[in-house]
Amino acid sequence: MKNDIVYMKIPQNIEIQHQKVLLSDLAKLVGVDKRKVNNIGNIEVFNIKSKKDCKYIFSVMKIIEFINKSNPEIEIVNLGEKDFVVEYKIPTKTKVMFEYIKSFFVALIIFFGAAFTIMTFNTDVSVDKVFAIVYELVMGEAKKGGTILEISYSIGLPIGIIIFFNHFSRLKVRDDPTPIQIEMRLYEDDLNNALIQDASREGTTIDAD
Amino acid sequence: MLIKYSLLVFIGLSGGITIAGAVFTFITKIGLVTRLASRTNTARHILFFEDCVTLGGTVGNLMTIWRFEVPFGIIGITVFGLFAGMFTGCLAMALTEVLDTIPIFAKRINLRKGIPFAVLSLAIGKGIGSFIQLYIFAK
Repeated sequence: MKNDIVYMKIPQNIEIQHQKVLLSDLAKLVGVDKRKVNNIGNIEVFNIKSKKDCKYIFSVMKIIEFINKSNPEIEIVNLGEKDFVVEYKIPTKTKVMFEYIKSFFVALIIFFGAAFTIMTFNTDVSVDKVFAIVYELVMGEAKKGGTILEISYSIGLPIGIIIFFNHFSRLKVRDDPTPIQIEMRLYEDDLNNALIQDASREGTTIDAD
Repeated sequence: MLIKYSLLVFIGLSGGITIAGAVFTFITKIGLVTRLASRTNTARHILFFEDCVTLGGTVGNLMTIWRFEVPFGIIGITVFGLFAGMFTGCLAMALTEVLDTIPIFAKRINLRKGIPFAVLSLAIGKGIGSFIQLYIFAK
């Protein structure tokens, strides 16, 4: 009996670059009987006809249906997602130059945006007035022009940002992912969930009959 | 005197660090950098984008606090205005999105189609609004 159990794990998002999709492209399969596991892995799940990049939403039920049809004796234990996104990307030479231009463009927005944000913040909360008060309280005399206070603030700010993001350039402070990397993953999860729910609402999920 | 100076340094440093934490948590949490990276398929370079936040924040801060001159003329002003504007536009939209403004309105008035037009109107409205406020009224 135990020989017939196959454990299957499918991630939420799979990128495929060829048209014939085998189960082993999508899922990680583990079982006692290696021959059977290989058999199941070679099941053709889908044949992508699209000529351009596109996304398909699958239900794991469809996969189980396929396996039941070809190997009825096998018991599948699904340890992965119930629904998952198959992303078909036509294998092209990635236009490296174009990607760098896009990155440069985004970098410009972020650079000037960050500068603008901190400038509006400093003006909005009147940092200069606050500094004048603090200087007078500490030194007992009115502030004239730039002082050690402004220097410290200007040093503290980049230190704070680097502590916050946990790195500067290749210089990593710690091995944890940075806050933006975490946000990126959360965003991708949200995106997949939205795709899956949209497909199920519109009935375009590739599901068991 | 030394104690007073150290106190100033201490206040300045901790102020800077805390403000950095606050302002840049806001930028990160609102999902702006992730959105830009995702839209342009450049998520690979996200560490580089974070460096840009650090550099931009530092330069902007130096400019407001020290008021040093950046003589790049009309081109510099145009570039700054354009990109800072795009950033602020993204920021404003990210804010509306985090607060679910558009979905709530769409649901309340049963708007099913034409949400792209609503977004377009929002963008044009914001553009015209800022132009009137900052350009025409400033004269």
